[in-house]
Parts: sequence; C-alpha cells; structure tokens
Amino acid sequence: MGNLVRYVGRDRYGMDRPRGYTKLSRHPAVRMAMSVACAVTLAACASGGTSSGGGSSGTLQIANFDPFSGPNSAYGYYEQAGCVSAVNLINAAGGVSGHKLTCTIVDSRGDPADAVPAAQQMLATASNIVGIVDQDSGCLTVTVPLFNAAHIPDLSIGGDIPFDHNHYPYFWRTIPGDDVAGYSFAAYLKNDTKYTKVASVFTNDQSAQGNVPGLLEGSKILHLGIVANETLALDQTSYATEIQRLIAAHPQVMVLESDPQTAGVFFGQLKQANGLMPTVLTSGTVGTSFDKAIIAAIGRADFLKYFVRVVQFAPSAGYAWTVFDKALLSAAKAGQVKNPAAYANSIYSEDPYDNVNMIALAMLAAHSTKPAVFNPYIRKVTEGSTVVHTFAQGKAALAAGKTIDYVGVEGQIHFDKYQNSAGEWGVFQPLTNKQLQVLPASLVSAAEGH
Amino acid sequence: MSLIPGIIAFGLYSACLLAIGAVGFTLQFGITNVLNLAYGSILTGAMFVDYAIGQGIPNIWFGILLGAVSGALISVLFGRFIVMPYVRRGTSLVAMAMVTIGVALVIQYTLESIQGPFVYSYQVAHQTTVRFAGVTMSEEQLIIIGAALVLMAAVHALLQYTRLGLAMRATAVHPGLARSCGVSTERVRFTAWLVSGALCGISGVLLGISTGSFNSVTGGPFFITLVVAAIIGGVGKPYGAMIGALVIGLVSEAAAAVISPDYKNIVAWVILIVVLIVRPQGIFAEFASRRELIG
Repeated sequence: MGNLVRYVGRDRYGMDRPRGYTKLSRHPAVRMAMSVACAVTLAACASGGTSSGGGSSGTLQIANFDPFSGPNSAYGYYEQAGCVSAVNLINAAGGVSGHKLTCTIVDSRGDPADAVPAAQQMLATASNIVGIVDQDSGCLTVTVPLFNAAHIPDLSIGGDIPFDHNHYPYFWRTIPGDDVAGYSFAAYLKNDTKYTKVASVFTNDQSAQGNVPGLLEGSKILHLGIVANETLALDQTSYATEIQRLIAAHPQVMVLESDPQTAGVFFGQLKQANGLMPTVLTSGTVGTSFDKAIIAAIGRADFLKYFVRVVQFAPSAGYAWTVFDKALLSAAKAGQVKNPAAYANSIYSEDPYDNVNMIALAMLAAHSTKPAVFNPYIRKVTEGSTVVHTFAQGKAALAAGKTIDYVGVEGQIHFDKYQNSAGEWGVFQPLTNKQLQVLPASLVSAAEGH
Repeated sequence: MSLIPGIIAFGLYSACLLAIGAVGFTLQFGITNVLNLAYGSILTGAMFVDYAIGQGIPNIWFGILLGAVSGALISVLFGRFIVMPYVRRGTSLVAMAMVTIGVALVIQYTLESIQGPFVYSYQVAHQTTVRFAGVTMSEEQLIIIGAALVLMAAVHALLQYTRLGLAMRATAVHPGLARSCGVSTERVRFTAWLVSGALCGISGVLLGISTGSFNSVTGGPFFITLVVAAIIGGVGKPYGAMIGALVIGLVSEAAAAVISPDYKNIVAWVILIVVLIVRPQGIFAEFASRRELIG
C-alpha cells in the first residue's frame, strides 16, 4: 500500500509521471548537491589541463603554456623539447641560486576560449612560476594581460600583430610578428624566384590572417602582383568553388597557411582540378600532422615537388647549437622527449631553449628569483660585454662580475623598445627540413619598405 | 568558365554529407525529445573507430558498415544508460541538454587523450576522377553522393512503408496517443536511438574519409552545421532535414562563388535566422503544426 501511486499524466518525454511519490534523489538539497557536482565536473572537463610539473618547494617552475591538444598541439611538444633541454643543463650546472628548475606543461589548447581558464587556473594554483614560454599565436591578446598582471615574464614566440607595439613590461617576443612573416614571403618570391603572379590563400583564423597584410603590402612594394586573395573557412568538406576562383586567376605561385585538415581537403581537391602549383608554406604549417595531411591528399612526390616553407631561421650550427643538440638527445634518452630529430633544427624548440636560459641568467644577474626584480634583466643579459653561448658560461661570467651578452642557438637577440626581437628567415624543404636559402634581414626590410 | 556546374555539384556533395547526419539528429530528437548535443562527439568517435580498425586505409563501404555499427552501439548505450535514467526522473529539457554536453566533452577529451598531438590522416591512393559539365569530381565523392541518396531512400522507406516507421511517426506526434493505440513507445525510442546512431556513425566516417584528415574536434563544426540544417527543415522532421541540408550545401557554395568564400559559413546562419523569423516551424513543417508550437 505504501507504494500505491496515482498517475496523473505524462511528462515532456512521454513518460508516465506519478504524483505523491518522493524519492531521496528528489530531495531539494540532494538535487542541489548533484547539480553543483555536475557543474564542477563539467568545468573541470571544459578547462584546459594543467599537468603536474613536479613543483616541490624550492623548485622554480617554467610554465610551458602551449597547445598540447587540439589542432595545434604539435607546437606544445616542440616547446617542451626546448624547455626540458635547457632546464636539464641549468640544473646540471647547479641551478639558479640553489634552486632547481622544472618545466610545467599547461595546455592552452590553442584557443582563446580555453587559454583563459587554463591561464587563470595556472596562476591560481602555482606559486613558484618564475617564467612562461609559449607559442600562443591567436591567444596573446587574452593571456598576456593575465600574465602581466601576475608579474610573470612571458617569453613568447607568438606572432600576434598587436604585439608589434607591445606595452606590457612582462611580455618579451623573440621572433618577429606574423605581419613581418608576410613581408618575408614577398622578399623570398622577389629575390629567389621568377614568379610575379601570386595567390594569397589563408584560413580565416587570426593566426593565419596575420600574415596577409604583410604579404599584400610587401608584394605591392616589390612590384609583385597579387592575382588572388582567398580566405578559406576552416574545416569545410569542399573548397571546390574557392579552387575554381583561384585557378581562374592564373597565379604562378601560392602562399598558404591552414590547419592540417583544411589543407588536406583543399589540396586534394586542387589536385583533382589539375591546379597544383608551387606553394610557399608559412611557419604556421610546421608539424608532422600538416605534412601527413598533404601527403595523404596529393602524394609524397608532389609534396616534394611543389612545396617550400619559409620560417624564422636559426642557424643549426655552432657551439650553442651543439650544446642544445646534445641536451636534446640526453632528454630523449631520459624519456622526456620523443623523436629528438624533429626538434633539433626547429625554431620552435631552439627558441624556448634560449628563452629559458635567458630567464635563468636574468635571475642570476639580478640576484633574485622574484620575477618583479629580475624581469628588466632579461634585456640586460643580451646587451652585456661578455658573449656567452650557454647557461654555464653565463653563470661563470656573472659570478666573475662581468656583464653578459647571451648569444644562443637563435643567434644574437636584440630587443627593441617594444621588447620584440627580429631575426632572419630561412627557406626549407618541408619534409626533409633541408635548408634551401637564408633570407637576410635586409631583404625583409626592403619588402617592408625600410 | 561558369561556376554554376561546380556550385551545383559540390553543393550537392556537401548537402549529402550533411543530410545523413542531420536526418539522424532530427529523427532522434523528434521521437525522444532529447536534445542530444553529444551527437557531434559520437560522430567523431566513429571516425576514430573506422581509422583504428581500417588501419588508416580508407574504404567507403567498410567504413559505412563500421560507422553504422559503432555509431548505433554508442548511441544505444548512451540512450539506455545515460539519457533514460534522467528522463525517468523528469529532468528538464535544459538540464538534459547539459547532460549531453557533459557526455560530449567526456568523449571529446577521451579521444584527445588517444590522439595525442597528432592529426590522423588516411592513406589515400590515386583516385580516378570523372569530368562532366566542366566539373571534375573524384570517384570517392560520387560514391558518397550515391550512398547518401540510398540512405535517404532507406529512411523514407522505413518511415513510410513499414509498421515500425508508422509507429515512429505516431510516437513523434503524440507518444501518449501512440501508446494508447498499442504502440510500444519504449521499443520505438530504442529504434530511434539505434537508427540515429547508425546515421551518425556513417556521417562521421564519410566525413573523415572525405576530408582525409581528422582529429578529436573535427566533428564539432560539422555538427553545428547539420543542426542548422535540421532546424531550417523543421525540428523533428527528417524530410525537412534533407531539404535543410540541400539548402545549406547549395547556398554556401553559391555564396563562396558569387560573393566571397568568407561568407560560406555566415550564409548558413543568416538563412537560419531568416527562416526562424519567417517560418519558425521550419521549411518543411505544415501550417497545421502551429498547434505543436503552442502546446
């Protein structure tokens, strides 16, 4: 009799609904608790991940704030390879003022909507982060203010154009902005090829579009003709119409940046339409996933035949690079890095390696591990009188009372008044990473009209 | 060279890819009244299953079979063990949608953990192409169009010529009345999850094969577009979803050709807004369904 209920109708799902039947699960307090638990679970699932970095007391953390998941996840692993290589050498040389360093992975997922909660979680939960290295193109405008407010130096290789005139004192950029990349493509086409009719094809995300103004302006200055300027919507199932428009413009060469999936569809349909042409890829296409997507679409032979990649250049030679390479191999043996050969000649590993060294040397030069104190010394360790190529050399020189000029794997770093450092550009064969040409800064400057 | 043949051909191709998923989505919603926002993740999951079992070698026919099985299995389990307990408790529509979002995130992040930093790419051999009316299409694209038309015909046959289809239509219109007429609504709902899951899985596999490369988030943008197609056609109306997919496919390609490729995605949303203003019940819904909007 206690289970007798009266059915009074059906709910929105067409299910019978009893009246006067109360279960514990319907108690308001329990339902509220369950709702809160669900919300917390969803929030935890939705936010970017922060992996344990092993930050014990006394250990200083370098946060590797990069995409480790999502379409741009390759960059996170490139950065981590450079970071751990540097940290291992720093710790082997005695650390910084008795402190060991560690690289902590913070997954930004490469998307502003995910990067912000990831950054906030990182800042809220870790108290001993002394520096951030990132390749956060497309996310800088939302993350840099957070890091700056927390007074943590962020040495970045994100190319967002707004930071060409950076005013955040804790933000340092060790590569040129994306718009400078656009000028470099124009410089390459003008000086190293015979092509005069250029097609600009970029996906509609901020990072890719950052290349377009420089390419258009540089082409105009160098008297190259932009015969097509196509924007590709990301991740479509067909680009046939865009390809028809592109072919109808009769370009001789195409400059392109897209994500792997878009590139796979685009080039597969371009080949289908007999439209394959010489193509210049940008640094935004670095990664085995992109190469695999193109090969899957058009085959290895055509990939080698038609494609080159123009990226920021770091000379993979010299003493600094040799030390870096050895550290990379050691990290691989220790299981910290997989496939070291992929990172040895990549600016995306070489740059964070140098950045971590600069952070460590700045701490030594300032005699402090407090970011607010050593932040100005990041510039000073690249302007001193004694040239050093490794952390160990720098540590010894500073201990001897000298001022240092850290010249690492990337070569000389020179921060302008916006705390940006320009550099050279290189032309590489995508699959083999064989260096084809070096574009000196003077040619890029000419494309900029300087 | 006229762009019109290309617009029609590739608009139809995009529409076919959309239609399979849109019909599955709207069919399930129409019968179960559950807004399944995990549909996109299940679709992506089917891609992973096909890639893993097929070892990266694309085979459309095997992929369709595998997609149907994997999608149906995941969907039925999801409906039976996650959705139904909430439904029995009388969970609100919004809360139910939140549950499905949670499941979607769980699936997505699980796939991400499997995928790691890589994008999966199929090994694509040289394809034969067919040229007609100034348009060149690959054999694979034509097969996808053919498969979609066959599947739509199969859905039509199921709904129009079978007792089960009649029961499904009755349950979608009025579950209580259908039950009073002797329809086993539980069985109908189970079938809805099964069929929609199969279509979801097939849609995912064909999307993965057609794009050649995919990762754990590939299904997301595609899912949003197919939901737009379903809404344009009339929520819960499979034939409406087919029409909605056709509209989206053709108009997007036309916008890219006539205006600019920048407007490809924008156009779909503009159409949605216009349809919701002018005919909120969707293109395909009859005027008689005004009663449904009120009650």
